[in-house]
Amino acid sequence: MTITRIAAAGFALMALASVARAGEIKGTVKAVGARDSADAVVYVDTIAGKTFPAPAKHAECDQKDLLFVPHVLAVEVGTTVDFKNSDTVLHNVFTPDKCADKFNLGSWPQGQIRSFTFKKPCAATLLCNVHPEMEGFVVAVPTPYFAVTDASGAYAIHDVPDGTYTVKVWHPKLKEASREVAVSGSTTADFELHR
Amino acid sequence: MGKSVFRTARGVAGVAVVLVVAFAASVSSVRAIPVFARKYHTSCQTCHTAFPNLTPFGEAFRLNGYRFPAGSDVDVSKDHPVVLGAEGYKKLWPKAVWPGEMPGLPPVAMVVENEIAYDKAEGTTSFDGLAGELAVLTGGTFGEHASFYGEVEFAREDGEVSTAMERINVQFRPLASPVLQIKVGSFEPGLLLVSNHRRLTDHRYFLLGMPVGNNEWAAEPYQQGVEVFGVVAHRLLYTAGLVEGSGNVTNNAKDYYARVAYKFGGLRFDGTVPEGGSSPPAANPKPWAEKSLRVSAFVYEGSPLLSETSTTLQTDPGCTTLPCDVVPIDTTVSQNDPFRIYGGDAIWNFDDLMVDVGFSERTDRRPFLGNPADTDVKTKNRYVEVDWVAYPWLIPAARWESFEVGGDKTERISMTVNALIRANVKGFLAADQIKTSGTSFETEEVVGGVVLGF
Repeated sequence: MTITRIAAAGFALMALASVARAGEIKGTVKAVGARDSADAVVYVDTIAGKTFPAPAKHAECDQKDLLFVPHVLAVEVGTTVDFKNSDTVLHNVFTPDKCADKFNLGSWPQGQIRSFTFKKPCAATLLCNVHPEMEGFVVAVPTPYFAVTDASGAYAIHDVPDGTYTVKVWHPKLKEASREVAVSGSTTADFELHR
Repeated sequence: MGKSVFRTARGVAGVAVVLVVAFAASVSSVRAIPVFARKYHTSCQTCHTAFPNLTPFGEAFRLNGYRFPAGSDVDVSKDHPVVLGAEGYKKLWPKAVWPGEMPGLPPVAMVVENEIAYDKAEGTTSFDGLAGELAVLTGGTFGEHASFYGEVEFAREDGEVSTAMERINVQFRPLASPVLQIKVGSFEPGLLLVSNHRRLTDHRYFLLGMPVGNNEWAAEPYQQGVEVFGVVAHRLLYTAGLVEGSGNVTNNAKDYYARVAYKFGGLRFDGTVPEGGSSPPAANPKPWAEKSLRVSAFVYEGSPLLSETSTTLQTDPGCTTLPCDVVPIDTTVSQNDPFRIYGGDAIWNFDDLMVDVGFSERTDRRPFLGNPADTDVKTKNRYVEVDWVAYPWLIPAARWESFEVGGDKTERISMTVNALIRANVKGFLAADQIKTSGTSFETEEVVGGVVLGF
């Protein structure tokens, strides 16, 4: 019994230590030449020797008021995205990008959902052939460490283990940026994107 | 033969002087584009000293196809364009329509001109220019690669209203930068650094419209055609165009021209700021003020078919039985007049002062209808202008210019005081003195007025 308690306490301490080692990457992305600094995807690129299981939980992208919501959805590779239609009009979702197999989910009415699993790293452009002005993006990244900036450009990626990583930034209109970031606890990394 | 041609040249030169003075004194359409103030929620003074004269930043805005320079247009625009196709459709072309956009709000503005004119020769004062002209203006961008400008004028004179479609053009830039731009439609050919559409004086430049004989060539208010222009290495501006010409009946050969200009110092033509320079326009308390020198040179050539039809009463050529009737007979005289103009100008900005000098030399081969012999009539233009931003709201301008053809010389001194009552309301008082060969300077007219843009 005592041995069991000691073992449990030991595991608890190990778990606490593990949490203490998990840091975060935070900062600001300045999108020069874009209307604001929202919708940049900041993510940790592939980590050598490390793989991550595909998330079981589905992500959701809505079509509401003739917009893709969110405009940019970041997911881990292997994630299934449910595309919902909340409008009273018919919508379609397709992508011209090979990395997402140029999928076309057809057209469906309000309240229904159709899904697609992103099996490869990809920045897939989402289009609706019923409404040519509609555009959205699903960005499938190779690790679970990612975040999307808000309008001010701020972002925070939580629970990143200490270490040195390649952090990349993708934006719908601007050139991608990339740099090495040494994570130790709470670490700040700012980026500037240009056309 | 030589003397005869010379007498003809002098005679027609007199007509030409009358024409050029009439042209230069005609309706003084000058334009600012309030559409852009609305689009960017910015004051007219961001781009103008006294509208329509441009600040260095305004010039860069114009040369960027009506965009804020250095890729910052999206950042500063307050307009939310209507997307006419998501950018993703570029990946599908040619299986989809190439995406584009258009302004969210109708890009329309108006300029109303009011003038009171005193004609010294006639001794008359005219209110005919009060609410004498209304211009409806448009301008803006269709995304990164296209922009547009348009202007329709309604002018009132002696109770009659005339309508004119003036400069209406679309500009394309394949590289989303000012390096290469193509303008199609009606526009003022880019020959000089100054323009009648952006002048501070009430009177037009002789140089940009100088009829010689029956060739009534003028660069403005517009010509129709295609112009390629761009800014290379920040400071070199080039222009080349193929246009219909003006004042001619037929011009199958088309007119063509080329111009190069370079800017030393100051804000660069493309609107970028050199290392260590202040970033326009917010950081500069005097957006018009800089130390710079701009120089330009151009050549313009054409060979229009001049034509004139006159009606005379003659014996009916088909008459077979006497007495014959006398009938009106139309006689058309036409001939080509190959001509070439070369010239240039230089503008020296020294803080609040701007000095502009320009010249041109023109040679017409056969400008006199009915005289098809090669005559080589030479024409010379010269001008010097000084503009001074005395206060941000008070900008006087003075210009001396001369126009010489066939030995006859016309000189004019134009003085205009511009006063900004508000950024979009300009008052002005203008007077000019004119002198032809053998006479002394005499006051021609005094004009005062208010121009309102909104």
